[in-house]
Amino acid sequence: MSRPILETKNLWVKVGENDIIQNLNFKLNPGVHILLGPNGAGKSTLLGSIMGLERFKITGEILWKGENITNLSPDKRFQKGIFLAYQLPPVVRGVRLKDVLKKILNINQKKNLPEEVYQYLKDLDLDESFLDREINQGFSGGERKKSEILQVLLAKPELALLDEPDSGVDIDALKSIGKAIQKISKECNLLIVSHNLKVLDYVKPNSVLVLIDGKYIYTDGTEIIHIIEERGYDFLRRKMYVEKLSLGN
Amino acid sequence: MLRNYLLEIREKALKAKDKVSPFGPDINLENFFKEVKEISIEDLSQLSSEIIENIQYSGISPSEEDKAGTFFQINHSVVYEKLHKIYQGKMEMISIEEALNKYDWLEDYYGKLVSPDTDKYTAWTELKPTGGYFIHVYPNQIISAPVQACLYIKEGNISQNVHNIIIVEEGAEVFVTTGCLTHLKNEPGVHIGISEFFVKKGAKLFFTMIHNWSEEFHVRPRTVVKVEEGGIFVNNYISLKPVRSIQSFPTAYVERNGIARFYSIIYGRKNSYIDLGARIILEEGARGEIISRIIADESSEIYSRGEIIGKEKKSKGHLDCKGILLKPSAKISAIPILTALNPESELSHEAAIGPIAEEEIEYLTTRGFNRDEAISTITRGFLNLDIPGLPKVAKEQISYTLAQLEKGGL
Repeated sequence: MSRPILETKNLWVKVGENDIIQNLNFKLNPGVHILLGPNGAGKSTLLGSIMGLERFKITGEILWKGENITNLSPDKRFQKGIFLAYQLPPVVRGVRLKDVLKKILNINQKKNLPEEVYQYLKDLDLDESFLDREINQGFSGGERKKSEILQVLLAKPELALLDEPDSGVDIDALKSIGKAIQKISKECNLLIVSHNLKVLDYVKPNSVLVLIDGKYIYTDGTEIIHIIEERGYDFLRRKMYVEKLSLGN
Repeated sequence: MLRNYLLEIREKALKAKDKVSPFGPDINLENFFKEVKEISIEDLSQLSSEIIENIQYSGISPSEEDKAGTFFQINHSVVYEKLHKIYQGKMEMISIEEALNKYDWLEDYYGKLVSPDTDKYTAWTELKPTGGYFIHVYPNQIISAPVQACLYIKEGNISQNVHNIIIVEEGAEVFVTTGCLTHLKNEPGVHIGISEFFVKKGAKLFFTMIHNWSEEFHVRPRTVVKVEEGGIFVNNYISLKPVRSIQSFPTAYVERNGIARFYSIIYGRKNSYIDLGARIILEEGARGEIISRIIADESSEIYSRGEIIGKEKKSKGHLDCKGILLKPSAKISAIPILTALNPESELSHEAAIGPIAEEEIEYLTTRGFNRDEAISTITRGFLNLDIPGLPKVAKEQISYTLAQLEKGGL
């Protein structure tokens, strides 16, 4: 059995006054994983916490390949090989997409972007003019998702956290994003939050994780998706609580 | 003839010597009476190393490489003026004093756009003139290399009162960089610049001014531009260093189908009081644009004024002011005014002021920028206006100045 690349120990995450994640303990093995859960379950919060976003107040521990990274800033986590593709990336005034790509690629701001950037732009059906635009300014929903995926392609992280890469995009955009994720899945470990599961047309996950009430993660194969589709998350929630009770947790 | 005219406007100035400006803190100019003359130099390399290092922050090249000409004034003396031989016969660049001695026809230009009785600063400059340049580009001459003018103060407690005139004749084109600066740290001083620019029919004037004053300096530029039919005037103004106070509200009168654009990049630091703006008056088919990017840091107080008046049909104007307030002790006021005097005039504006959002910083940190890098990247990017049609040399100057700011060189 492979060693987990990521582990949380007694993880509590507060957003404002609310405890979104409550004493969560889980291990993430290498591979591709889909993270499901009802709205408000804490999926985006979990991804943001793994990345170290400061708006999330954390207690407990996050271990990256056995190393405690709980107190590391996002840039340090980036350097360790963790990358978060946002669900709704913000506009950053005055900073162009190419400025961010150069940082990701660790090349001098005065140097030209390498050829692979232009190839990925083509693959994602993104015009080259996006490179000179203020990042996310005036980008459509689909263009924002593509920009995020482009960054993952270039970052080649050890673990990419993709927050709903398949939501709010049209069929054509989905196709190019899906193909890009397929490529990423061959090179990186992936934890993908998805609601509509369209991403499953492009990747074969090693496991499906279901986050229940920010407290438990139920781990299973893709067959669990059909059960959720038929019986809803409530079924899983009850099942999980019964299991936990029987174990005395 | 010119002598009589100059006596007349001197009379006008005398009457306005105590006239307070409607904007900006009032300065008691009597405190800055000292006169400081400098000796001429043969070459810019004769300048002190301190001056040579400083002028580069204001876009002035000490090597004069790729420049059409150089005008250099220190304190109250023009110490150097040189026009590259390639451009001789195409344009002239001399001191205003020499020009007034040489040309009687300057009566048609001198004091015609900026009246000496506008306020005490214009009056003071007329009554106690201490230099300035005269640039005249002859008809249909394209001056492909920039002309550079430096107005330097190296002595405290003085008032440098310059009067500049630029005439770009029909169909001609020129790019002028003016660097106004001091290396003084704690001594107070005043710089008053009267600028009258005449952009004739179909002519183009690209004007970039980079100010690098110091914490005890008061600056009062007074600029008026006349753009004739089909002419283009582009004004870039950059001020990134702390200053005691700057107040300026340049005006461009734009005739039929002419264009005037004002771009300003302001970084308010320490206790700087900065009141800047631009006013454009548009005739038929004329277009005007006023764009400013402002950052207010520490205890700086910044007023950004913009006024566009659409006088005639098919005139078009746009105002755009964006500001970032970095500290609660700082202040930004954006004051846009649009006045349409013709139903076929189209005018618009947008203004937005806010902090750097934590979300913006956070996003960059997830891309490998550390927190300080993220803030400086956002700040620098915000100020690095992508000005359409801005000549490469001006872009390079802006980038260079911003890079110095980032390095802490300013």
